[in-house]
Amino acid sequence: MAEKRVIKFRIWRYDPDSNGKPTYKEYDVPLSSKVTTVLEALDYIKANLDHTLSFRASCRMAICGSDGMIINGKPMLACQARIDDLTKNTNVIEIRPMENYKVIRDVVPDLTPLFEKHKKVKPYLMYKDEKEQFNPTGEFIQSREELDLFNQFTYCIKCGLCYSACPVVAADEEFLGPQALAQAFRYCVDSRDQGLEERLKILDDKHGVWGCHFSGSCSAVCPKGVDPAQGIQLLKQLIIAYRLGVRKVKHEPVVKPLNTEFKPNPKIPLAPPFTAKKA
Amino acid sequence: MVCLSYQSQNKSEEEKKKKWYNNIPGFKAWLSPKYNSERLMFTIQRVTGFILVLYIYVHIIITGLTTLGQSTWNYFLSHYDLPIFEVIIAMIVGIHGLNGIRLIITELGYSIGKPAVPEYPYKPKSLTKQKMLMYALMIVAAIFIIVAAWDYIVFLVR
Amino acid sequence: MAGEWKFWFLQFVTGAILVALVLTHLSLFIGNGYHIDNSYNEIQAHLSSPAWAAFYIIFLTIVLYHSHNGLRNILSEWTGGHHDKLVTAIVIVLGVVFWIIGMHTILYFLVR
Repeated sequence: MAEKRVIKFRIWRYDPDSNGKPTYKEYDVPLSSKVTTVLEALDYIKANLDHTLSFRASCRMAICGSDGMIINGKPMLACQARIDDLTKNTNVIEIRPMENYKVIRDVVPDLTPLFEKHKKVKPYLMYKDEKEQFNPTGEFIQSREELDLFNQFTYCIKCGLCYSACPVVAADEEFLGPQALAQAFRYCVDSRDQGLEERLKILDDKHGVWGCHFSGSCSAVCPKGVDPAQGIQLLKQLIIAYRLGVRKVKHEPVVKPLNTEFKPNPKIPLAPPFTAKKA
Repeated sequence: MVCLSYQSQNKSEEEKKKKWYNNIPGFKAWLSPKYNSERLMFTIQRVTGFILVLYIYVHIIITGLTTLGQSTWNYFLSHYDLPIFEVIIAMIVGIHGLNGIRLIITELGYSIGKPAVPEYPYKPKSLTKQKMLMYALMIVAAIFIIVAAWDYIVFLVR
Repeated sequence: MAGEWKFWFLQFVTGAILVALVLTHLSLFIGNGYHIDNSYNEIQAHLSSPAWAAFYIIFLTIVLYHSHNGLRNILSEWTGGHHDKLVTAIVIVLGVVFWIIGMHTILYFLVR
């Protein structure tokens, strides 16, 4: 049997209480069937080598978006980064916290600005008839093409890697950032939404969509293929077309009355009766 | 253990936030082209743009010297004219202008593909669709640089 | 401040126009070789024609708009987005000053 491969992890450590400067600490982690991703290696270090190591992680399958960090110089999700892929030419893996955030401890960044800016762009459907929106008399109809316009951007998991990679965010504290702008585009092109005017107050600004200069780093590091850069450029196109009065595509939301005359298919058996009492 | 958690709870939120490490690189991030080639073009566009603003100032002031008369102008040219400087500026103009054409096309939402459900392995369309455009324009920029520097090359060979 | 789109749409338009204008401007010099003995008379002959003077007035205006909008963007981001009004004021003052200097040069030979 081949000898176990040992990988050296250089991890950025910062303790807010010690008044010290951040330092790198090194750990040797033997690879095994239980240690294949960087997140599993971090778990191994925490369990066996150094229990003071702090990192944030939850689902370990690239869905929750809490373990973003800079691994070998590139922002990645630790759970998605396979050690085999990272150590083809080297035996060292260097881990730093994400840039463009304040660091709470070790590799745990403070994601508050990301979420604050996401809130600013009003990431929800805005329908002018509030009565209809909250007490609907029918359902919104949406074609496949209309869904395809924004479906890609709904895959965002708010991990903050794009915000960390963006060179404009690094300098400009007011800039909304790729994540918020891509989500703004997602809601602006939704055929059920009527909030473009409202959102333009925030988006059509030096620190809104015009702060982006298409460096494309957000798309290069996105772990879910959301491609925020594309969304932002399309948002610019949309805003210019709207302001010049040449926007063609905007559909009025179509409300179709609910189908009350619903007849069950006789081939499908009915659901069994409730066993618990209704409250 | 109880004692430790008591101590950390005792601190106010503000006091804790003061000790967070500021990991924001600032405008230095413009000058570190990493991750992708568009980022390199972003850096180049910034740097060349800034140099060109300074050059425009110098150019306007120097051409303004012609209004002071022929002798002043000739005296200035014979003492301070540096052909290599002009050639470098021509190169910078070529790169800034031709990359600018790409930016106009892409920032108006063209040649970056249409949104679709992402499929693994993810290849962002905004970075793949306009790659050929970028290479083509940079080849044009290289030709432009050679044309712009031609006089100087001839000047040197003589 | 909504309405920023105007400046960036103009930035794109002026950028596209500048490609043509810069090529015209450079084509006057490229291929002539380096010589300083006659350049003063050339400039004088050039700027005395009203058509070329008009060309340079347009060129100067567009180039100063494009460059100073770009400068405003760089300075605004460099200062963290906190001093936008100051940056805009500086950029407008610089632009107007250099526009006046440039206009003086262009019109000097035409008027004389």
